[in-house]
Amino acid sequence: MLVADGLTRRFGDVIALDGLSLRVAPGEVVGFLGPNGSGKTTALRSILGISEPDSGTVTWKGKPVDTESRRRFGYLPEERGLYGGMKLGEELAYFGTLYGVDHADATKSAHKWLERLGLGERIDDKVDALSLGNQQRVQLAAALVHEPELLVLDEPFSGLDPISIENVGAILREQADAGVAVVFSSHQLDLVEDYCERVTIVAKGRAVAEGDIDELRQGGDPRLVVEVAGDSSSTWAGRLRGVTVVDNASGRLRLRLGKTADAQAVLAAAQKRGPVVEFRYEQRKLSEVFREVVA
Amino acid sequence: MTSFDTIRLVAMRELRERFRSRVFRITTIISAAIVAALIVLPHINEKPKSYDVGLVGDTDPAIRAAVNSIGPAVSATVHVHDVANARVARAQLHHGDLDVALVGGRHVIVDDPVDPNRVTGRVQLIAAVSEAARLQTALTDLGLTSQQAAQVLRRPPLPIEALGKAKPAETDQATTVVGVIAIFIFFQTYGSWILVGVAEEKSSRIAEVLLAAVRPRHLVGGKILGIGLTGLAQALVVAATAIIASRAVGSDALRGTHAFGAVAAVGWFVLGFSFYSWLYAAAGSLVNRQSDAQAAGFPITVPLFVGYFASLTSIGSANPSTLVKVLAYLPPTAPMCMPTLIVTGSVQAWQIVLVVVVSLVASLVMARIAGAIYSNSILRTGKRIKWMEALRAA
Repeated sequence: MLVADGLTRRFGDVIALDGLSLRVAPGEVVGFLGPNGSGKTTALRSILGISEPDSGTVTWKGKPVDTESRRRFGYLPEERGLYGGMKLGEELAYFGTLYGVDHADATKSAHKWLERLGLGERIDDKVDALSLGNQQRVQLAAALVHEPELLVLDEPFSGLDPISIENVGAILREQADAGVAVVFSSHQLDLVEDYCERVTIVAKGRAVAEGDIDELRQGGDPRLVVEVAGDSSSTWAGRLRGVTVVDNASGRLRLRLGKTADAQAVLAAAQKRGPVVEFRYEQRKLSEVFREVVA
Repeated sequence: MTSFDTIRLVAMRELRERFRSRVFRITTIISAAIVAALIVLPHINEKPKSYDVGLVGDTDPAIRAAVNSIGPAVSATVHVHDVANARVARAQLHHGDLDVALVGGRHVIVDDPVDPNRVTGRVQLIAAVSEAARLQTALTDLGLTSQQAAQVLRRPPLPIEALGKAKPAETDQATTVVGVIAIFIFFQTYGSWILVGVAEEKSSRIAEVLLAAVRPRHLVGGKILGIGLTGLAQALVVAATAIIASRAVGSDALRGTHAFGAVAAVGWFVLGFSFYSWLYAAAGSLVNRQSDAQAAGFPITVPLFVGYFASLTSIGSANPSTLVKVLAYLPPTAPMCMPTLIVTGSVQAWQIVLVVVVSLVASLVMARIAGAIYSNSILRTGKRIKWMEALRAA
């Protein structure tokens, strides 16, 4: 298990990390969320030892992270970086050897991952000859080539087309199923919902919410979805006591019920407007949880 | 995996990629071609020097022997011919078959008049033939036998005692000049490779990927080692081309570069490069765009230029300036100024050892400071980091 505890980091007057903690267990995919400038990248760099925190600890399997344990980590940085003039296969094999893998095994693994990512035929092409999307895939292969036990990915889906997103998402799930601990940051919360079991949400350098996605979505005020046939107005609902209109998608209303609200009163008001075609409770969306906790 | 393994891996990538790079191969070939051309071109239409001397009538055997041994004195091959009479000799001189004729050991005939103010090979030959015959004849005229006269002429010249301090031998000077110029050019060239290479890794953000696997000092150390070895290999190719071309055409262009001087120059290069390479790496880590790299590296070139000019202006002098004597002990300028002090005989062996030790210690200190600057700066994006700011943070 990766445990980052009480990480702090200042850059001059800017507090990037303010006692941040994060846990990632083998076999799980954890989403690491937060608004821009909330300290996500600094935290991920601290875990990898690229940037030393001012205080706090990072342990892997119960021991402080050192050079040897870092060789078992794979990293995809937010700003991608590859040697443009090197051939794909050689570049990936080089990264593998830097992580301590024998050159022959690293070459074999480079072949495997390029095949898996649909770039097998371009193994002898130079990185510069690839499109940006394909370079993204090579970057992911660079994080995987040494078969790490912990994957730390900063915005792994940015810049990918929907098919590549599915491919990368499937790889992350496969890795977790094989026992790898996976943590990734992302602003694409629907993807986080799709691929993660747990999330840690940070704001201003601190973890402001942490836990199982379903549990987080269940918390807070009850939500109702109401649709009245032929009625696209939402003003009637807004007038009800304790009810807040969260969203109106052409008459399909998403309502938040405060403590003083009464669901039966909502149903009665809806029926007065016309035939009710949908009336059900729903969980909060992760984006709503996110907005609430970082506000 | 040890630290050394990591440094070796990084260095090997540098070596492999640079050897493969078209730019590297082309610059190496062009450099070698320019050096070869500079040595070979002056010799393309040059014929080996050879003179023909005609001896007319009875010639004293001692004079004949003296004329036969003139060759080395005039740096040419001298062929001696017996000519039947003066008329034939004149005809041969006129047709260019002879360069000079000695008649009866007492009379010298040439075709074109001799201008004593122009010291050419031909003038030296004519003077040497004339002098050999004149002295031998004068001594036999005074009553010495031919053998006695030859014995007098074989006496070696007197030893010369000079009261002033001797200037360094021209050959040693040549070695040192070539060495200092090469060191200066190599520092600039390979230093700039490190500067641009580090700036490239920072600006392309690959440094962050690498630093997840490798410690910053190992990354920069491997880069310096790889580029240093690449540079050394290129320098050796150019030097080998110069030696081969020089031997092939019998050029005296490298006459002054003897083995010890060449080895010493390599030693000074390695010593200085281990100091400057760290500075160049630190400079490269300060910038965010490759285009800013040269500006960040400019302060490093100042001591290089000072050392270079101070060294070259003192090299021919018997008494080097105080400036050179001071700069020779400072690690940034020692690789260029100390060879000058050595060639002018101004230092003792212990002083050289002292400078080597001081330079090694300075390189280690520089590796620490520049390594810290690199570690602090390589992931810092935004505007260019100033040297003072980087030093304070280190």
